[in-house]
Amino acid sequence: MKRRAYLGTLGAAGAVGLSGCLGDLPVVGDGETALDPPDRSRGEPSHPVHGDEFPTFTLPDPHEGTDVSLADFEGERSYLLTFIYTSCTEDCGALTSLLQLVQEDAAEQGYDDDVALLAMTFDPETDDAEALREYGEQYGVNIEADNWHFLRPETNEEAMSLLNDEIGVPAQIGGHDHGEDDHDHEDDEQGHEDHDGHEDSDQEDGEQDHGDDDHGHEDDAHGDEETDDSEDDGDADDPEDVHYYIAFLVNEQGIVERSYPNATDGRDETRPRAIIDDVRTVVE
Amino acid sequence: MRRRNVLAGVASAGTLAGAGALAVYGLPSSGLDDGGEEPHHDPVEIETVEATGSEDGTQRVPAEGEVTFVDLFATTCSVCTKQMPELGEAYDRVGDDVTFISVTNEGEDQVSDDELADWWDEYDGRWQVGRDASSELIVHYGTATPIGILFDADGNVRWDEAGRKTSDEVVSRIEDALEDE
Repeated sequence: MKRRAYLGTLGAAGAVGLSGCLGDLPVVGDGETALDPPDRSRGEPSHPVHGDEFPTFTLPDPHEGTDVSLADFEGERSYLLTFIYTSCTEDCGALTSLLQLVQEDAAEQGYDDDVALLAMTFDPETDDAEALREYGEQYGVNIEADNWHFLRPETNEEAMSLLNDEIGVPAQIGGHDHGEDDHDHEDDEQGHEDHDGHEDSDQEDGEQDHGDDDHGHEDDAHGDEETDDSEDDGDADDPEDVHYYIAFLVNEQGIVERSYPNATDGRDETRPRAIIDDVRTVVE
Repeated sequence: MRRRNVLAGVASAGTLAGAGALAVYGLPSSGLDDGGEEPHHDPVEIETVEATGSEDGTQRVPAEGEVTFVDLFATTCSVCTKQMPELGEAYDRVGDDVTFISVTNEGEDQVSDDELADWWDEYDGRWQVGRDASSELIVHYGTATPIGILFDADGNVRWDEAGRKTSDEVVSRIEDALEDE
C-alpha cells in the first residue's frame, strides 16, 4: 500500500508547491481538476480533498474474480468511490444508492465507459461475494456492468488499515479496532465517534440528520479535540461501529475532484443531482 | 431550471422498468443550475401500486393545484419502517386536505408489487403508495431515506428533510402550507 510518487503528477500539473510536499501528507491543491475548489473550505481533514492525489491501491473484485487497481484507471476512467458494509442497518445504503443513481445516469447519458463506481466493503469477513451480490441487487445496482466494482479486501484488518491509515477515513467495525496501529488512530476514531454521536443526538434513534449542519463536516475526520464534543448520547444501535459516510470523486489523473463528507445528509452539494452534475463535468 | 422534459421522460420510462427516463435531466452540459435554496423541478409521474389505501394508476407529484406531501422511502430502510406510525397519524389528521403519497424508487426487480403491498400492510400504510421509475425525486432530494418533501399548491417546495420526522412536525408543516393557499 504505498502512496504513488507525486512527482509524475506534479510535473503534469505544473510543479506548483513542490516544497515540503513530498512527505506523507497529501499534496494540497496542486492537481489539475475539472471542478473548482469547493465553496467552503473545511480545514485540513485527514483524508484527501480537492486537488490531492488519491492513494492508489489494488483490491479484489469478488464477482469478477480479478483485482481492481486504482492506478489502472489512470488515463482511462474517473471513479466515484465509497465505503460500505452490508450489515449496516442505517442509512449507509444511501451511499450505495448514490452510486447506483450515478451508474444509471451514466448508462442513460452514454458516459458509462468514462466512470467507474467503486464500493469497498470494510467488513469483508461478513461481506463475501454472495452477500455483496445480494446487497447490490437490493439497491438496483447493475453488478455485471463493466463500470461497477465491489472491492473486497482480504481481511478486516487490511480494510481498517487502508481506510484509517492510507486514506485517512475513520472506520471501525464490530466494537473493537481491527486496525494494526491502535495507538496512532485511537484518538481519531474516538473523536469522530463522539462527534458523530453528537450530530445524531437530535434524532431519536441516531439516524442521519446532518441536514441542518452544513459546516465543518470535514473536520470530523480529524478527530481534532477542539471540534470534538463530549456529548455522546447518539447512535444507540451500535456505538462501536464507526462509519464515516464519505465518497470521493477522482479524475482520470488520479486527482480528487471532490470529497463528499457526510454524503447522505441532504446538503445541496451532496444530493445525487449535484454529484451527478459533478461527475458529468469531470468526464466531459 | 431546464428540466422541462421531465414529463416526456417519465412517459417513456413507464415501459422501461426503472432503467429509462434519465433523459429527464436536460442537457449534460447544464451543470449546476442552482436556482435557490430548494431545487424546483417539473412534475414527476408516480406509478401508484395497488395496496391498502392505494390504487393501481398514476399520481402526478406535485399534484396540480394541491398541497402535496411526499414520503420518499425504501423497503430496505429501517428508519422508514420506524417512521410509518408517525406518518399514519399525520395522514389521519390532515391526509384528506392534501395529496399524501409514499414513493419508493425501488424497481420491480428489487421489490415486486405484491411484496410492496405486503410491506405496506405490515406497517399499516393506508394512503397512496407508488414508484418513481425515473428516480427523479430521489436524485433531487437525496438518497438517505426517509425524505419528506412538501410542495405548496403552486408546486413550489416548501420543505424537504431527510431523516425521521414526527407526526406533529409533518402536520404542522402541512397546515402552514394549507394556510398560505
